[in-house]
Amino acid sequence: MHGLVYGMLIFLVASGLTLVLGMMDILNFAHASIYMIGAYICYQTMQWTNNFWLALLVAPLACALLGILIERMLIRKVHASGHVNELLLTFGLAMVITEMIKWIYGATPLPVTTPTVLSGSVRLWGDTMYPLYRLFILLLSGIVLWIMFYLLKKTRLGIAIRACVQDGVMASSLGTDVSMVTMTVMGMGAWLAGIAGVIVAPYLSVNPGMFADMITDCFAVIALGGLGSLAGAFVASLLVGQIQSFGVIFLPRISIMLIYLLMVLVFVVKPSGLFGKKE
Amino acid sequence: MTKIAGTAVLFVLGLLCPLILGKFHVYLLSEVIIYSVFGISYYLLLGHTGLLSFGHAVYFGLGAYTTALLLCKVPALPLPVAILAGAFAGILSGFLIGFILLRLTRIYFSFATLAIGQMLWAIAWKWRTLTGGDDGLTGWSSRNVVLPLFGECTLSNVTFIYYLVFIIGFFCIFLTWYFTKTPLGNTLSSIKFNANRTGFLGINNAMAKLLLFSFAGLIAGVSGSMFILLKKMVSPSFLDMFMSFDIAVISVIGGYAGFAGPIVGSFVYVFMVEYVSSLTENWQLIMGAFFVLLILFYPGGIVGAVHHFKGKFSFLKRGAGS
Amino acid sequence: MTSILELSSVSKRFGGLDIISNVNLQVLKGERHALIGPNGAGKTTLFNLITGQYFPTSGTIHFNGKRIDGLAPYKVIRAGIARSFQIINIFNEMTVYENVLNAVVAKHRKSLLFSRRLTRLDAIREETERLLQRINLTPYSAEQAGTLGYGQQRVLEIGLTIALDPELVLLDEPGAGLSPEETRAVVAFIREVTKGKTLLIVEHDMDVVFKLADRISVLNRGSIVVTETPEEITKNKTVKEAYLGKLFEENT
Repeated sequence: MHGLVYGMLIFLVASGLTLVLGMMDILNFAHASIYMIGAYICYQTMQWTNNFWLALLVAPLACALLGILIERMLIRKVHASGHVNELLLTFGLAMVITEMIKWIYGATPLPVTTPTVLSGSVRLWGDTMYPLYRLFILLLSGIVLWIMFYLLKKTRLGIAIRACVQDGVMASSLGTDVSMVTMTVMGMGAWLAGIAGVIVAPYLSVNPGMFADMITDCFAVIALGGLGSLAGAFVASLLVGQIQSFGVIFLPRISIMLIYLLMVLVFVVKPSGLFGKKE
Repeated sequence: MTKIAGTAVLFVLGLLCPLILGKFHVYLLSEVIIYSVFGISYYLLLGHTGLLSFGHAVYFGLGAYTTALLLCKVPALPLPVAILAGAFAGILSGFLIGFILLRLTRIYFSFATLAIGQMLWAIAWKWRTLTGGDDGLTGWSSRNVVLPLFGECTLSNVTFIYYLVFIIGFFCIFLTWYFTKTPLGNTLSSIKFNANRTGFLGINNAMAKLLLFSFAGLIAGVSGSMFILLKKMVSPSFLDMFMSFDIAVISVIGGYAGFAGPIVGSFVYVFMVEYVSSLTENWQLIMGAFFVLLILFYPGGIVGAVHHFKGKFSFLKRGAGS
Repeated sequence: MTSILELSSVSKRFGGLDIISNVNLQVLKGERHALIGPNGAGKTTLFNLITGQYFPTSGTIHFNGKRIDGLAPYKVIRAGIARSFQIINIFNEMTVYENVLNAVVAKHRKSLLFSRRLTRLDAIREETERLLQRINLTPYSAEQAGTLGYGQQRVLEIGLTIALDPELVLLDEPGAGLSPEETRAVVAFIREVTKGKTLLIVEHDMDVVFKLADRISVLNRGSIVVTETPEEITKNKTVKEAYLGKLFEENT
C-alpha cells in the first residue's frame, strides 16, 4: 500500500509537470521546487500556528501564486530568446530555490508533526492495522485528482486545456486564449504540487533534498508515461511508487537503479514513452 | 594572422604566470584552465551542435574517478598513463551514453542527460567499496614525480600542476578548435541549423552525433583527470547535477555561442566564486541568482554583450560609404 | 527503356485512413515524369515514401532493381535519389556558399571526416564554386541563405538537390510561389540541370508540367488514375473532365 501512497504523491506533482510540458514544450524544473516550497511553507505555518489544516489551505495557494508568477514574469520573458534558454532558466531557478531554502532553513531535515486527528492506526481488514495518515493521503489525493479529472473532462476549461496540450496553434486559431490557459495550467499544477508538499511533510521529513528526489521520480514518470499524457503519467506514477517502496525494502541499494534502468531502456527503445505519441 | 599572434601571446603569458604571480593565483588560474577545457567540451554540444545537456559532468566525473582510482590503487603507474586512462574513460562513456541518447531530440535529450547523470551519481555515491562513497578518495598528492630537467617534486606542487594543466589544456583546446574546423565539425553545425535537411543530403546524423559525444567526452574526461590533481581529492559531487549546472553557468556567463565564451566564463566564474565565497557562505545562491539574471537579460553572456556593443559602435569604423 | 524507380502496390495507412492506396508507378530511366493531382491526393506523401520518411504499410519500392522501402532517408539519398522540398528547406543561417558546400561534401562522402580541416579540401571547394556558378548564385556566396529573395532560395533549394549528383531527382512543387517570369526561368533551369538524369516532379502549375514532362501520372485520392504522355492526357476525356479541366481553368 505504501507504493500506492507514494505513487499518488508523485502523480500530484508529475501531472502538472507533464501538462505544462505538453503545452509549452518547457520542462519546468522549478515545478519540483514548488513542491518543496509547499513542504517548507507547511513547516513554517506549523511553527507559527501549529495548525495543519491552515497549512493545507495556505501553502497550495501560495504555491499556485508562485507558479503563476514564475510563468508570467520569467518564462515569458525568456521565451523570445529560445528553447535552450527557457530550459536553462527553469533549471537555474530550481537551483536557486534549493539554495535559498538551504540558506534560510539549513540542510538538516525538519520534522513536522502529524495532526493528532490523523495519527495512529486504523483496523482495515482482519488484523491488519494501517496508519491513518496514509489513508488520509490516499483519500485527499484521490479527491483532488477526481476534481481535476472532472475539470478536464467535463468543463469548458478542461476542453480548452486538452486542446492546448494537443495542438496549441490550432487551439489559438480557434479562439482559445492560449496564454490564459497556460497560466491556469501552471497555477493548477503548482497548486497540486503545493498540496503534495504539505501532505508529504508529516509523512517523510522536510529537507532540501526533496527537490532532487522528486525531480528524479517525475522524470521517470514522464519518460515512462510519455510527455503530455496524463493517463500515462498516472500509470507510471503508480509503477514508480511501487518500485520505490518495494525496492527500499528488498533491494535497498539498487531500488533507484531499477527506475533508472527502466528509463534508459525506454530512451533507447521507445523514446516517446510507453504511452507517448511518436513525434 | 592576428588570431595566431594573439594565441601566441596568450601562450607565452601563460608560461610566465607562475613566475609573476603568487601560489594562490596560480592555483586559481589552474582552475580556470580546467574549467575552460570542460566548458569548451560543453560548447561542442551546446553552442556548436545545439544540444543542451544537463548531465555533462558525467564525463568529467568519470575521467576524474578513473585517474584517481588508478593513482590510489596502482602506485607504480606513471602519471601520464593515469591521465590517459581518464581520457579513455571520457571517450568510452561519451560513446556509450551517446548511443543511448542518439534517438532523442530537444527536451527528451536534455531530460535524459539529467537522468543518466543522476544515475551515475547515485552509483558513485552508493558503491562505497570502489569510490569511497560520500567521502570520496584521496591520497595521491604525496606522490613523487620525476621531471627531466627540474628533478623531483610532489604532486601537491602547485607550479607543477599549473604547467601540466596549462600544456594539456592548451592542447585540448587546440584539438577542439581543429575538430570544429573539420568536415565533421561543419556537419554538426549543419545539424544544429537544420537536422532534417542534413539527413536529406545523405548524411548519417546519428553517426555524426556519436562521434561528437565521444570526442566531447574525451575532452571532458581529461579535464576531470586534471581536476583531481589540482583538488587532491575526488567525490561523487564531481558527477552530480550541480556540477553540470556549474558548467552551464560558465557557458552562460561567457556566452555559449562561441569558442571564447567558456574561457571568458571560466575566468569570471572562478574569480567571482572566490570573491563571493569570501564574503558569504551562500555563494552558490548568489551565483545561481546571477545566472538567472543573465539568462533573463543577457543570454548572450559577456562575449555576446561585447559583440552587441561592437555592433553599435561599428558605424565609427565603417564611415559614410556603407 | 528500363525503369529506374518502381512502386508496386504501395499503400500507406495513417490511423485507419489509406492516404496512398495500391499505387503502381514506374518511372523510366532518363525520362521526365510529372505527378499531378488535386490537393490532398497524396503527392507529397508518395515522395516521403520514396525517400524513406515513411515506410509503406504494404507494397514495395525498388530503385535500380534494389529494394529501398524501409531504408532510412540518408541511405535512400546515398543510393542515388535526391529530393527538394515544397516548403523551402535550406540552411537559413548559413551562407549560400556553406549551403552548397554541405551538399558537395556529402556527395563526396566526407561529411564525417575529422582528420583534415575543411578549408584544406581543395577539390571540394572548387566544385562548390563551380556549382555556385552553374546555379548563378556566385554573387550571393557570402550572404546568409535566409536573406535571399524567394526565387533565389528556390534555386538554392534545387541546387542543393543537384549538387548531390543523383541519378533520380525528385522535385516537390519547385514552381510554388514563383512569378510567371521566375517560373519560366526555373523551368529552363530544371531542364538544364537534369540533363542525363531522371526527373520525377510534383507540380500544380500545368504550364511547367507540359513544358517539362515526357509522361504524366495523375494521382487522385491516393491512387494513380492514369499514366500517359501529355498529348494523350489532354485527349483523355475522363481525366480532363474530372479535374484536369478544373486545374486548367485555375491556371490559365
